[in-house]
Amino acid sequence: MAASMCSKLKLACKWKKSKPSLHILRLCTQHLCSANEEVAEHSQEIVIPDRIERGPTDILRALASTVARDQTAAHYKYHDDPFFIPTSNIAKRSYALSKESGRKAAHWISNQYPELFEGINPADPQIPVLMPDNPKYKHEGATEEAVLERLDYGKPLVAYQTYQDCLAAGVKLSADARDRLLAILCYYNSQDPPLTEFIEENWYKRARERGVRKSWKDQGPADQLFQDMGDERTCTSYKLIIRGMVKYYQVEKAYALFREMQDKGFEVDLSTYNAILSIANFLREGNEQKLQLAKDLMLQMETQDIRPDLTTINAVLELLSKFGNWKLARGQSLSVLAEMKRLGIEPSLGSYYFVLMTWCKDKGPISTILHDIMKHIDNKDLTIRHLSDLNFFVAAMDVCHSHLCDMRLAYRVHRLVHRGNNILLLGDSFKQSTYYMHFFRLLCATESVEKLFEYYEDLVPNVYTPEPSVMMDVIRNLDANSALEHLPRVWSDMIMFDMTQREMLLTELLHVMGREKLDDTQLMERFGFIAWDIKTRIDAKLSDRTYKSPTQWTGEMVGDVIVVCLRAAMFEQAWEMLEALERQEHNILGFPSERVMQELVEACIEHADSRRAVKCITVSSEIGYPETPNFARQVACKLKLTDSERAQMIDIVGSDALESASV
Amino acid sequence: MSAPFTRCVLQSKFNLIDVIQANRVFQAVVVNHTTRERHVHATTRAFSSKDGEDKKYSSDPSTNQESKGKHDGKKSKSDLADLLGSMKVTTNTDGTGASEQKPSKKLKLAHPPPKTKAARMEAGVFTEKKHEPSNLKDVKDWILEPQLLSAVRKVAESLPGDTQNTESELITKLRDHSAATAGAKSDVNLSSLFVGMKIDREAPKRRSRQPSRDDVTDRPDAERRPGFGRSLVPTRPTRKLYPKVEERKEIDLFGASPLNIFKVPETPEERVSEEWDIWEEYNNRALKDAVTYSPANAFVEQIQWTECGKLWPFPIDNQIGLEEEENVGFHEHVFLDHLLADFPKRGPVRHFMELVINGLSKNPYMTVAEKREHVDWFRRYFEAKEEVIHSAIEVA
Repeated sequence: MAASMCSKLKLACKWKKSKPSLHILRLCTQHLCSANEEVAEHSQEIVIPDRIERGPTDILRALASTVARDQTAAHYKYHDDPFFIPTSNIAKRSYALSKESGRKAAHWISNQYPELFEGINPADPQIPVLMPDNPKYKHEGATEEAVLERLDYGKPLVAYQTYQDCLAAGVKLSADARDRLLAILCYYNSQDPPLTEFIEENWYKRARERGVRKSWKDQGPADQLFQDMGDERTCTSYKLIIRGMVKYYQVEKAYALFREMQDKGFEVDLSTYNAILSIANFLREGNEQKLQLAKDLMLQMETQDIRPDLTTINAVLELLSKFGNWKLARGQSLSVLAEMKRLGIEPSLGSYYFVLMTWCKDKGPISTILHDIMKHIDNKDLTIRHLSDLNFFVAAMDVCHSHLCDMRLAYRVHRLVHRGNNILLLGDSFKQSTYYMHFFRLLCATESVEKLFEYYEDLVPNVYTPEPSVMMDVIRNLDANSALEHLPRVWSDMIMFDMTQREMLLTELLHVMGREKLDDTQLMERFGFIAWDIKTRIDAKLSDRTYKSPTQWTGEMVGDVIVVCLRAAMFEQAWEMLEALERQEHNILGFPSERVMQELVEACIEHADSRRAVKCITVSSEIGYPETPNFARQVACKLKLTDSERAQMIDIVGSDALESASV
Repeated sequence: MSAPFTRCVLQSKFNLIDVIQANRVFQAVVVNHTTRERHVHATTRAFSSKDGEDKKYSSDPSTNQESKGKHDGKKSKSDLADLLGSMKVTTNTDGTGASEQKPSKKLKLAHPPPKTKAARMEAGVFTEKKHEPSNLKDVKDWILEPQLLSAVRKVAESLPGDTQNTESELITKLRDHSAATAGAKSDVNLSSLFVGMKIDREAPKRRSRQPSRDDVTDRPDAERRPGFGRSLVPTRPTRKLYPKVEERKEIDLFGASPLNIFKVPETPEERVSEEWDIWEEYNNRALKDAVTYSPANAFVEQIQWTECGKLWPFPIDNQIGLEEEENVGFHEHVFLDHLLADFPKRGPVRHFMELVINGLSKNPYMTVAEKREHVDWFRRYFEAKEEVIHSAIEVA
């Protein structure tokens, strides 16, 4: 290297035969020489590092880790075109699912008409996931090989069909083949395995998580197969059917089979014990009895020398978390954790989730155990080890918000979530938005406007679109902190999030805008535009007959629009609102407040519009405000009235009121 | 901004509590007065019962009175009427704690519980102790401590043995009871009182004032989200009520006494691998799917494509997917002469087969096994047609 550098420098010297470059050359060569000497001293042993085996995706992973989230960009799954970037929750959902449904349509075509693609697929070797999903089986007919082949292709129902053909033809399958068939039937509840390819669908589908209810197919293929086995049931087949039943909450039968299995002298294994432990909640009445059953099961495991694992411990913790406000549950959960430590089992997030559920009950005493949990998991990179792990972050944020109302703790949780790849454990769309909902509501309740908007700018709308309740809290936070200058921004976000027909939100927004007159005339003008925008949007939906549930005007809203318009020097618009109020008397519930009427009367006086002033007084007296005579007096004092107008006024408030004014 | 308001609400709450307590005292007085000593525990029961107090108060005196009968009926009835009349006035005019302030002649009548107790104690009825807690609880509210002390002293003197000792024993006992019952009582009362009270008082004021930050946190959820395991707490108290981080008690998560069910394994991590557990395999797959989300950038997308086999895995290997030929050398594809060993040495068949071999050695699309099979097919064919070939050659 030194040589090449020297030659380059020499070259440079040749071109520019000047003194300075020669000087540089001399310096460089000196430097290089000294460097060479140093190298010679230390270069006795050169250790060539061992080759590191790389997995097929390691380079991609390294590259992916260099890409940070761009807070101004929509998610990668959306088309990168401003017109197609969704902001509201409903748009996000429908765009993502539309894309997926295109993919599904392609799948359907390829499965329905595989012949269209024959011979034009250049891939060699073929790529199975891109091929039509109707494999050409090598083995046909009723044989064991045929059943196994269909199992290899992940087609339990076709395999079951072939198995039945075998039965009919009198072909006997080996115990192993039958157990394999039983395993897949039990795991997927006698259905084909769900397609994992459709990520978006799963992302949104998990929102509607099935609660605890029995979904096991009684007398389905799995049950049938198990019955067909008769006396030839093996230990494995018992294990499989029990686990399947537990997975789909057929608890009574599962427990009965568990007892039968023990009676027959089969050895129960770890996973099956875990399964029975996880349904202990349904097998006994009363908390003590349930816990006793769990302990008995664990003692049985111990006598059989089966070592528990994370699932075992989590099952017990889950049981404890279901005990309502049972006093002993808290202490017991700590005992289980201690046992866990004694056995050297590292708790997963799910274990902490169950502990949190045990300690922080809705109606129970306040517990700060989340602080202690955070102490153990702070600054850790977490991976999924148990399905319940996905519940932890949502529950933790819920506890921070509803249970402790502790913003500092919430920041800790939030930091942990955004560390490394921990965000993967936040769960699906529903869990994610619940998490952010709690986070933002807590921010609104405890933090300043600046802090709130710091997070708002970061996460909204590309990561999270606030629900109406959160927007409500944001408006209230702005109101409580007298930061009304942010309201126009909130309104434009509400338009983006498709919340322009949320009656509660609109009422609140109008109410906050109309509460008091501020000195900032520019802001008041913007409020006026917003109020008028709200009005036009409501009216547009009201006149659109196809729209199902438009917002209905209330007197309060009309009053707020009038007031805001008046302050924005939009007298004509304010007047239009009053006329609308009169026109649709029967559709509008309630009336504008007396304060509104007063401001309106004052505005009329200011505009020297006696006709409208009289009109105001008419409306005010129809509503029956006691201040009406006062209004009349003001009008009479400050405006020139025609005779007919005067007569009208006397009609309304009586001559006495006006008399006293003129005197 | 909210502090004055909270204070005012609290104040009004306490006022209400006072009023109610005063009322209770009155009622108790009435009952005690009319039913005399024997019915003391009727009142105490009424005190300890959480609900339906009013009913009890209204029914108890009358029924008791009836049962009590004629002895002192007339007089007590008139007494009661007077008493009730005066009370009504005092509650209406004076709101809080009227009973304490106005120890009228009639109200003095209303002090039987301590007297009866003292009397009973004097009589040496020690089973009375069962009633002590509830009695004392009432006593503490309106009876001065000295009276109690003197009663205790009297009891102690009347008993045989060490007077001082007995007295101190009795007092400690009483003190324990009073502490315990006072705590229990305040809990019961507060919770039962606050039911249905708060909302009525606060609701109308909401609109008229500037909502404070406390208020913001205090509103019920606009919409509840269904499906989530824990229901959201609809109303939250203000932040001040929660324990601060500094005040909280640390919980040692792993410091409790373990269940001690399992033996601690001597050698860590020697998992007995189960013979064949397809179930675990499915479980692992489900776990992996649970954290597979739509890709966040193009690299992640390529990772997903690689994993499901749509992209060539790294390192790039153009033999990928050709596993069956993995251990077959190049020479086996090209040098196929040995396959012709048992064909005729010369003649048209030989000539034809040499051409076949030539072609096969240049064909990259067939495996070696297929090439052998191909040559074998010709061998079988020519063997079958041997006679036909011979006759044809002869004719030629």
